[in-house]
Amino acid sequence: MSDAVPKIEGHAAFYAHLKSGRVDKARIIGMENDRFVEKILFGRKYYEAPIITSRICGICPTIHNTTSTRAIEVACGINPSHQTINLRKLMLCGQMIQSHALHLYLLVLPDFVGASSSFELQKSHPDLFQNAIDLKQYTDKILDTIGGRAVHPISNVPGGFKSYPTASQITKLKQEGQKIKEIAEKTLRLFASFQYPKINQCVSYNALHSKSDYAYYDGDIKNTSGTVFMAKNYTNYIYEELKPYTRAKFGTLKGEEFMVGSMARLNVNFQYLDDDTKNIIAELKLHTKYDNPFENVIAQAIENYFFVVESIRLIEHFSTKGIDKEPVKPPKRFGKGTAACEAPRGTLFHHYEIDKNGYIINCDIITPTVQNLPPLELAMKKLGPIIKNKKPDERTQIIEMLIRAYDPCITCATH
Amino acid sequence: MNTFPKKSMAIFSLTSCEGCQFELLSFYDHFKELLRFYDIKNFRLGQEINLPGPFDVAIIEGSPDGEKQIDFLKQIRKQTKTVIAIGSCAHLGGIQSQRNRLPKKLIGKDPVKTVLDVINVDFVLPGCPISHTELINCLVDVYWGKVFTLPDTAVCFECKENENACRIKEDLPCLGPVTRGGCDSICVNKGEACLGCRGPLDQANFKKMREVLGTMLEDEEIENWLTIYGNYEKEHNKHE
Repeated sequence: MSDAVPKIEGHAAFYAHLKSGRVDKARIIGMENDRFVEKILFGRKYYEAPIITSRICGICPTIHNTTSTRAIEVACGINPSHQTINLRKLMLCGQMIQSHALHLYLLVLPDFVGASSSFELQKSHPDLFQNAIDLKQYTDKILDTIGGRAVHPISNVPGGFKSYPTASQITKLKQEGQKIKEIAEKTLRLFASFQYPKINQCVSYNALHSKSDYAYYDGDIKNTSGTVFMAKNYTNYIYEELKPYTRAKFGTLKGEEFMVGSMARLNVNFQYLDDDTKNIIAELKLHTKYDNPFENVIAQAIENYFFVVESIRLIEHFSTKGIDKEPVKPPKRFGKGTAACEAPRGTLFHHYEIDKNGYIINCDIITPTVQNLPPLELAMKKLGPIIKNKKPDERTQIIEMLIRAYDPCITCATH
Repeated sequence: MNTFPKKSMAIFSLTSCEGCQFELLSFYDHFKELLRFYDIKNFRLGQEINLPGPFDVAIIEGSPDGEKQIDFLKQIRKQTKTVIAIGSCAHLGGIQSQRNRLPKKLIGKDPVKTVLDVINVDFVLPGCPISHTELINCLVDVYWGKVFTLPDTAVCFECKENENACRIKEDLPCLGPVTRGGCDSICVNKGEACLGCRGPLDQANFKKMREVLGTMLEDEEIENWLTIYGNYEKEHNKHE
């Protein structure tokens, strides 16, 4: 068993057994402790759920907050206004760009340019490092403006927003758009230029799907094998199981491994990308279908560009239409509610049951990493031909690169 | 050229969301300045080669859960000159400490401890997430051998400065009066109540706070409010 893998979110180790050129056993072992977030919500008021669940993860608090808010809204019979939905979409764009940019530049890039850490990268490639900082600061500004804080948003609550950005704040965001778009394009070109190890994992892919756009806020769940189901029926399709060697749960689609995340979203929703992004993909001759987990990195760089374009579109929308100070809508009833959103790492499910007095009596959260651990183990097993003639150090490095390409978030997986 | 000798720093994460580490990295320009004073020897989230102690400064995020993490924490204390606990998880137990009020049968584990329950720390930086300015200030002070102190005023003090309407006067619940300031009343500025993430003020009057909340919330809700990031009242009594 290895030590905790560096440069991933949370603590995890791996174990791979190589026998006559084949990896016959592969395990990924989450070393985080359970925090029982689902259980501690029991007996708390409905409005506390988004506040507490956003604390599941420090990289992706916004997506937990938004998914939780949406699920509570379903349970309370609240229909959020168009403006609320668009504000949340802008927040999610910020979340996606931030998570992708940090993962690409600070966690993955050092492997490709031969730096051992992000700090070393800063010394050896200051221009690349500055790109990461610029992207992060742009998203921090979006999250700060809309959600009230970069880590753990404040304003977004069931029923709407508790405070709204001013016109001048939106104008400030708008001024940065063009520069950030150029940086995102550079990022995509950079990551498309690297050579990636080649394996095919041959699994199916799950992502949100809607008939009109590149779904990330709302929609049904579509699998590349053809299965389509609604978020509220998720328990019939996604099974969670516990393994004896890890605290992280393993999620499967009726027992079959499947993958979620950037690759899955591109596989399911490629046609809904905007023309700008499609042109660059065509120019760089990138794939339109993905099955090599190492190329998850390219998929993230494509999405990074797409979400920058999307955020510019939404900011433009608010800057021309302005923002009304809508009051927060109160709950109409209490019952059951489920919602699914696309987190940077894949589809995230939140499910709540609320009693007649507004107290939560049941909660279930399925995070993307839970769904991604089974295909990750499968992909590790397929590394045999690549690593069999390498030295132990290099083997570890390639396995770590694979784990990192998957972008697991162990703190989420063991919430 | 570096004219000052650098001190060694390590950043460790126990059971938590790792959000405070990200708060440290936000406003990277400030963090870059910090690297003039500190060499980061151990930081698993950011670098591959992580060296063992001794360290001059260790930053600890999260609550220790289980024997392994408790032993690890004690070991860090032995190796380090200055230990700084950051965030509500290290300070009060964090959101996971809410499980302390659930029946043990349901959880099957020991109650959540805080870093302060296990070791003595030199400084505590409260908040969920921490205030990034406060952490930078603290680290600069530590470098120059100054004693960093937290503000001993309630959140209400800053809230008034920010000209917010008082929530309690409008019959809306708020924990501002019993919570230590220093956060620039960020939550109230954004329309949310203060939920006490920075822990109790030294002179907090919980009896009066309960009385005030009693007119706005149900009894069960009051208990919930006072335990979101840890049991504030218990924490307060511990230090009296």
